[in-house]
Amino acid sequence: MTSAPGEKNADLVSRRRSLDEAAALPVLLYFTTGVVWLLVGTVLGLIASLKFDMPDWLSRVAPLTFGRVRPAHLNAVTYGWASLAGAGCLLWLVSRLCLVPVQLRKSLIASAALWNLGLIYGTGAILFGYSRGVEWLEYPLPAAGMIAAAFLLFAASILQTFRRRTVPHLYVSLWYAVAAVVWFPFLYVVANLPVYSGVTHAAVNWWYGHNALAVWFTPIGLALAYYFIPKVIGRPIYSYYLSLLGFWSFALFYNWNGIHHLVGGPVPTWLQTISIIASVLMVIPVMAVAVNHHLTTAGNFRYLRTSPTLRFTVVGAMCYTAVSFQGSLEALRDMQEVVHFTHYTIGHAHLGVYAFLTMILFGAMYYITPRVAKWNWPQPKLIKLHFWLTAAGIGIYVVAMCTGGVLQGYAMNDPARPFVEVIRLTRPWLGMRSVSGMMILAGHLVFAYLFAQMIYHTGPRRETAPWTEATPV
Amino acid sequence: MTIPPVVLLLVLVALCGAALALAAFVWAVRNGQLDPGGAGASVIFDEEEPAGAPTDQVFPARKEHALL
Amino acid sequence: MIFIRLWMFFAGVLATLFLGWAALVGVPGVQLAAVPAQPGLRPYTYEEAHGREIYIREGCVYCHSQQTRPQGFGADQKRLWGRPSVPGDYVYDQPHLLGTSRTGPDLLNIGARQPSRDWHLAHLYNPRAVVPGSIMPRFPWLFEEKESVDPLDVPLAPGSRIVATREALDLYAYLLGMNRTYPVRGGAK
Repeated sequence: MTSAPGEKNADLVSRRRSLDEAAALPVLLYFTTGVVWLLVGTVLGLIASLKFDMPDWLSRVAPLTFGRVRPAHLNAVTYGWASLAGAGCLLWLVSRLCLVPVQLRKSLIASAALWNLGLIYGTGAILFGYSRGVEWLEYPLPAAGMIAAAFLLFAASILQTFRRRTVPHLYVSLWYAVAAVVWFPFLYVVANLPVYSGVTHAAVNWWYGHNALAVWFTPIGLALAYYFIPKVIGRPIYSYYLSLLGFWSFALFYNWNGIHHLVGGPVPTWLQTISIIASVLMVIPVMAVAVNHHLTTAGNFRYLRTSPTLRFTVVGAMCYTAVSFQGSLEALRDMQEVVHFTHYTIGHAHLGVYAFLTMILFGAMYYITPRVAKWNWPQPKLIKLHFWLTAAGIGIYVVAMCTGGVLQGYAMNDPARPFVEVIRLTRPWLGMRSVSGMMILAGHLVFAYLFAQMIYHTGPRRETAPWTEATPV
Repeated sequence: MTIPPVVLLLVLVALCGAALALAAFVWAVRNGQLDPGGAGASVIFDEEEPAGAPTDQVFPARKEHALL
Repeated sequence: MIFIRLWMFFAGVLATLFLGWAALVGVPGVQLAAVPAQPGLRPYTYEEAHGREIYIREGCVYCHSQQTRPQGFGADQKRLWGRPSVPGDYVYDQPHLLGTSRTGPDLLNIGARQPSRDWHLAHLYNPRAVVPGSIMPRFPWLFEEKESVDPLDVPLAPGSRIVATREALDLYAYLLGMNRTYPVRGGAK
């Protein structure tokens, strides 16, 4: 190369910018609709929580009864917010790691449209009384079909981008991303087939439920954390080889966990035992991830002060370790006997999908959005407000639900205590959850406001990194 | 004991999945993706955003205050 | 050397476990699909099936389970919720409604525990009137207020003008039918 270092650097910047430019429309479509579903889903969740505190509130409005609002919330935040935001992040990340512009962009527009149509149809269907009644799979078949089709279009783009890569080495995040888009469609279609009944259906239901976490949601979070932690700090991941071994052991063990949702239930004991063993074996890949994420961050905590991405991502990564160890313990029969059927499982679920995944998604969006929207976050102080509201909120949420759940479980297992007494003792904890839900909603409103500023280029213009118009030297 | 056709289908697809995963793993080893040494960790950096230089300073650095 | 053996180990484990993953879906599918209904279990009647749809529609499964655990695993037995349930109890359930949450009690044998129609209708209309301290939602849309009550209508209470609709009656039929107290026959698992 005969070009001067400054020219080479300019080439690198312009290459990065052209990748961001190609990614911009599809990524922003996914992000924007994802944020809308975040708000919708959070409101639905808050309503559900308040219904436990005030059961007669709005009790004549059928679409808002707990039994409909709760699954509407779950589907909106998982297939809506987490999946859309996650898909947008993966599109950007895969493009960056393959050094190829996002492929099949037109079909991504169709994908975003179809996905959202499916979400509207499905969520509306649940609220208006057409749920299929299967946890995590409540959407009627047409809605599920739309989402499956939308996902396949998204997967095609990821795979085509991957195929055309110009890099010799597959960074660890790529393994997670590609595995997820190959695996999830199969999972989703198989689980939705209307051919199961009885306890076979229960087994398939929870094989699906846990695998949705295993092969779609968790890989998104890990792929993003493995990229952003070293990228923001400016240090390579602590033990890269370990991260690859971690991926393969993750792929090995995780999809066996599903039946731990049915411990003590009418499914063969050997099946339950396999799931419990697999749940405990997950400690191995989780340790590999923990070593990498936390030892890369160690000694570099000062960057949490200056980078919102790192702040959210490190919190998310720590919660991944926590929720995984919690899960491994929770699967053991002695724990299950107490906490199965209680609010504890809800606390665990939110530690995973919110404190781990959603926090990492926030972190990733804080990094990606300026680069694709071509605007800097205009009000950094509001970012801090978003962080503290949601971090404190989810902290209270998890503590409330896990504590309340354990107390509930012990009380339920004590036949001397009447059932209404069990309900009564959970109420303060459920009340705490509603308070935390309000904090989380407030945090999300702040985030949505900030995000709108990015789309509309409003708010004070800041001519600092990451997005500057000026060409670097 | 008759085996329901959907179960056979699931097993078949699962076997294909297993074969795919195994193929991916074997490819990874032969292609040198899993060589120890950790050189792959630096692919996220380049000369313009090199290792050693943190990116993404959005909040101003302040000496006295903690994370808030 | 060690490295080569390590990758072979991984390949072998991978192949074995992914193959076995098929077993997680396939073998229990075979085993469970072959499970016959318990002799004491009969298919749902038309009303019960309709009631079950309403149970699904209103999301009862999110607060109520339908699986009674064995002695020594929780207090299901001591709370007299019914004998431990077996796969053959669920053969006609499509979708399954085993549930994963007990904000309210298990309902697998509610028909045996609480067969009273008046109790269930009153409870569905306003749970707190019947069970103080309950946080269960109300379901007033399963009822209607009538100007004049026909002899064939089912009012909430004598003299009340609030009568149960077909939906409430069928939901009650389903709950009454939730009775798996018949003795288990054959290999339970």
